[in-house]
Amino acid sequence: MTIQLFSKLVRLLLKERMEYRGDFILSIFAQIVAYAGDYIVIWLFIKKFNTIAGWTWPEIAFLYSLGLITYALGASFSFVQMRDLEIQVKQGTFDSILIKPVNPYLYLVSRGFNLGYIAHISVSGFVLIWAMIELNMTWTIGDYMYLILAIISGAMIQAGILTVIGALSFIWVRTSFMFTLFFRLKDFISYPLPIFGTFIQILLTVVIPLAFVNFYPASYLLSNETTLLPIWAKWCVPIVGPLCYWVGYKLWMFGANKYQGAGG
Amino acid sequence: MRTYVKFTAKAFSKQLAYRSEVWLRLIGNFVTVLIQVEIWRAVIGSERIEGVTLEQMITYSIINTLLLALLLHGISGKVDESLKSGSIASELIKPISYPLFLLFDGLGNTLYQLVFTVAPSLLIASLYFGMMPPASWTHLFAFLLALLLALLISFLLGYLISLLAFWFMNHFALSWMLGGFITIFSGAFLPIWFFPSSWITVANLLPFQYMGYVPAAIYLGNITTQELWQVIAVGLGWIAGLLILVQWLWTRAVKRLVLQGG
Repeated sequence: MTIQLFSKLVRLLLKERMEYRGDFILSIFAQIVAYAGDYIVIWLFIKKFNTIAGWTWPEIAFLYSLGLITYALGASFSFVQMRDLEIQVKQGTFDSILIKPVNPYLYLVSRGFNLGYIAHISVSGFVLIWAMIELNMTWTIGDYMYLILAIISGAMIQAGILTVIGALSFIWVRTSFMFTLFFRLKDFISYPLPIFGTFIQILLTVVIPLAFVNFYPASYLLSNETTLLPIWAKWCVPIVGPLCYWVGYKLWMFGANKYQGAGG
Repeated sequence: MRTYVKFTAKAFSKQLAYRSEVWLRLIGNFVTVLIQVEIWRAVIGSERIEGVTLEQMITYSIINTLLLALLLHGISGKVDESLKSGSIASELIKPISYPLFLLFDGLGNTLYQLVFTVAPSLLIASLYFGMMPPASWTHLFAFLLALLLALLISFLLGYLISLLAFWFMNHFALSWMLGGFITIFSGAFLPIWFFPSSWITVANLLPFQYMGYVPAAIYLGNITTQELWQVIAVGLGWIAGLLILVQWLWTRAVKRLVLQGG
């Protein structure tokens, strides 16, 4: 799966979507409304209570947007592909991916590359930039570079975890509820980590490293308290993502090699 | 009627096949309550805000998290499936009411959730976080009524979406939009008493508060005995209004379906 092949694929996917232009635009509009709902609830909350654990509205908006934009980037390469894997395994259609002359993982994720996340990206990107202007930060070029690295790494963390769950469909047949559980856990990172107990903080830092998606990078960039980790841990942020993604990929390939074909 | 009860039983036993996922659901509910409890602990602590204590907000969060598991969610997805596969034609030939079939089928899932996830989650949450008793016997009775209203309103809204999908052919988009409104105006996370006054006015003009805020506020006694029956009556009014609307859309949708062929 070369870059050239992938860009050709994206053009085809775009064409496919644009076949039903009205439908695509309606979907995007609907998702913007849905996410606006999430932002508005948090805004109403902070309007009432002023701060959560010392974080003001623009800071929370920054934190939340960082979580959403990395999810959208990561999920466009993983979520639907991994969620539907259980059906492919159940029905045996997964076999057709294995006989293609490309790496099955790369084929699956790029063939299913999801343009639908454009709504998530526009909403969260817009709010992220708004929050940065509102906070009036005096950032150096290094800080901006750090933010970009954090976004890439965060997307890889989210995609990595989704890939691990997808790999489970080679072992268990049903994985859909694992995805629901992932989304429940992801709710933790919509709020500053220190409001949760030490156990949860350790869980989200070490076991399921979701705190590295947005909480740690946002705290370092906004100079907010992190409680659990020291300041040098800032440099873990760009490393955790690739590591997490690598683990996900290896597990997935391991599962695919073990795959015997459940359907027939 | 007996036929429909059988649909409920069938949907219930279908869900039984997924018993092994119960523990994942229990963890999911626990996580959701935990997040909300910690947020309220962070902002309320040992104080009283608008006369509301942390203990009350914990009970409010538990009720709302568990209520969400009971509401009828999959209606529009189910109709969409039979619309796309064409099996809706055979559904319509059967000598039963299609919407009533959908309702009773959905209730089977609700019943399953009640027994296997909501009851154990309630036990775990009340032991771990502490749950307040209902404000009074009257409030408990009204709370149970409000639960029924919540189920019916969630069904009617889902059904409304599925009927609108006969025209828009995109039930996902409509469900997403509805979801955005429910997130804000159901008050499931942020109770309506914490809203700014103009937002309270809007919330009161919409039916979504019956799917979150109303049952929990009744349970806690934040809706007084005098207001209680008025709130229930307005809820019934919403159900009647939605019923008329879906009935009207249904007759038109079926005509449209014929135009599309099978």
